[in-house]
Amino acid sequence: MENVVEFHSVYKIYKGSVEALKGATFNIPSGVIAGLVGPNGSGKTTSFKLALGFLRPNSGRVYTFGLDPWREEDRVREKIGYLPEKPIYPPSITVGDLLEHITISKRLPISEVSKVERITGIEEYHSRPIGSLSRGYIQRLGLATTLIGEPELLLLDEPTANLDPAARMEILELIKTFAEDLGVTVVVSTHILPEMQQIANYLVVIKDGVIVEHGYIGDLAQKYYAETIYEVKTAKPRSAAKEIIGEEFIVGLEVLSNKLVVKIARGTNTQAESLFSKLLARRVIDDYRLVTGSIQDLYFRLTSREE
Amino acid sequence: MGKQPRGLSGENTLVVLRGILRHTEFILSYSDVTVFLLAIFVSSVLTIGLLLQNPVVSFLIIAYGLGIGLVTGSMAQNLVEELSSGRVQLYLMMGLTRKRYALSWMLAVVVYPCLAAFLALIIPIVLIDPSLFTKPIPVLGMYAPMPVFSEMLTAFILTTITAGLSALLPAITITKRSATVGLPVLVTLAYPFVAGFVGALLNFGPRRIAMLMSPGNTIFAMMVNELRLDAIVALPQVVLISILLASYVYVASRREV
Repeated sequence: MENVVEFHSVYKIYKGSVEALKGATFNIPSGVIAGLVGPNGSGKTTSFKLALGFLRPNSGRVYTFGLDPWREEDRVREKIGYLPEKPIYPPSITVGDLLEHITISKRLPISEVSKVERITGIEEYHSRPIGSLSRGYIQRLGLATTLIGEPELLLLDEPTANLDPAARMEILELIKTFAEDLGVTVVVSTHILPEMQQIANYLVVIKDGVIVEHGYIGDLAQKYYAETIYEVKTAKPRSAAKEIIGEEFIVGLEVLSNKLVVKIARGTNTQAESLFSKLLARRVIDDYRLVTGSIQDLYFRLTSREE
Repeated sequence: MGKQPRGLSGENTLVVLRGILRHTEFILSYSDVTVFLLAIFVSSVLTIGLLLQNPVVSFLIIAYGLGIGLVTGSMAQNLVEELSSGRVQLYLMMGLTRKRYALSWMLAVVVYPCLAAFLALIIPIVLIDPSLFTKPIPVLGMYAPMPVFSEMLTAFILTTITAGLSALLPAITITKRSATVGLPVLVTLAYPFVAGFVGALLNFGPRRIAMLMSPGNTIFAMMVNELRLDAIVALPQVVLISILLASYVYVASRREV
């Protein structure tokens, strides 16, 4: 699978000798929903800005879609939708005017405006000044701006920051929809790990400007013996749950209409898969697959390993 | 890699220029209509002044120069606001490169006010009597012969360009609102050395050199007929404008946001 973003030994030092990135090396494959996770000030936004060509690395190489984003800034950015952490829209102009300006600037048909307004649920705010919108709707507007022109990559910087729980859920659902329905590669920077658990399948862990680890969450979870999550398909979810719940290595179980979501303890994948195979043979379950790892567990294992 | 994004591929010069102009219009749409209103006001008063052959004309031109300076400084502060708030990122995501973004600001802060000023001053003359262009204009009435309007207009435009660029350069470099006033002040301090040096090389007398020693003085000197605008007198300002322009484009194309 091709990489949409590649960092090779990238250093970024701001004025005043603040080292934002220290030899960062990672890649983001096409088609993933990636979480760029780390504490505040760890270099997440700097990584985004380097990938977009807003910043120039002090050393190392950055490639976005195989191009140098600093030198070929417009060719790179035309393929990307970017949601910055802080709202940056002129407050006095209307939602419609802003979206129309972006659409016209990108030389797209004006029908694009109503399309992105519909996807992000802000149609009725078309004529409202941006300054009058709530934080949640400003964030929806931000997402709408990122979708104009059907980008191949979305870089979303703390998209749920300062939102109430309901708005957070809505935004996460939207992001998931973008990836699933529009086929966009999404990178979400955040320090809120449970949110990533809901949507991400790829992880880049960053701390103090250093990339601690990156890769598919399931692979990382197995590699570092973190808790993992299996999806077990079954026509008889209650019967299957009864068979599974008693096992010591089960640390979480969610029963849905035609499947179970099973979280298992660190380093017990072999035991879990043995159990699932037996249940499969007895036709208690129809299928099972490792979905992902516990990001929270993985994150703390990785970052404590570094310490 | 993957599908071709819609919209921006295959750009040519005309398309790039249209993109820059479109963003200029956008900047002007929310940043300032003062230039437009100021031009209408000046144009109206100038019409009356010319019809009555009143010395208010000369006072008006000097006041207009100050007004334009204030307006361009205030517009440059909007650029500071865009850079410091990060709003620039929104515009760079719309297909503008750093250089095109900087050029669109230059059009908004320098070219548009100059064009407005030029039209505000020239339209009354064209409407009343185009031959006034080559005739002395009513000034403070102290000296004779009086300066010719076309020379005055050229000096005015050069001064306006200098003011606009010297406000834009610190706006994009230092990103501090106060700096948009700072560099114009610095320019007025540094400019005398350059102009004085050029004047001395050309064997100008002390009084003529003194009158050359600031863009503002050039206009005032012409008003009181101490100086006539010719290629040599305009040269220091053209050199200054070239340095400011080159610095601005260079800095803007390498600026991180």
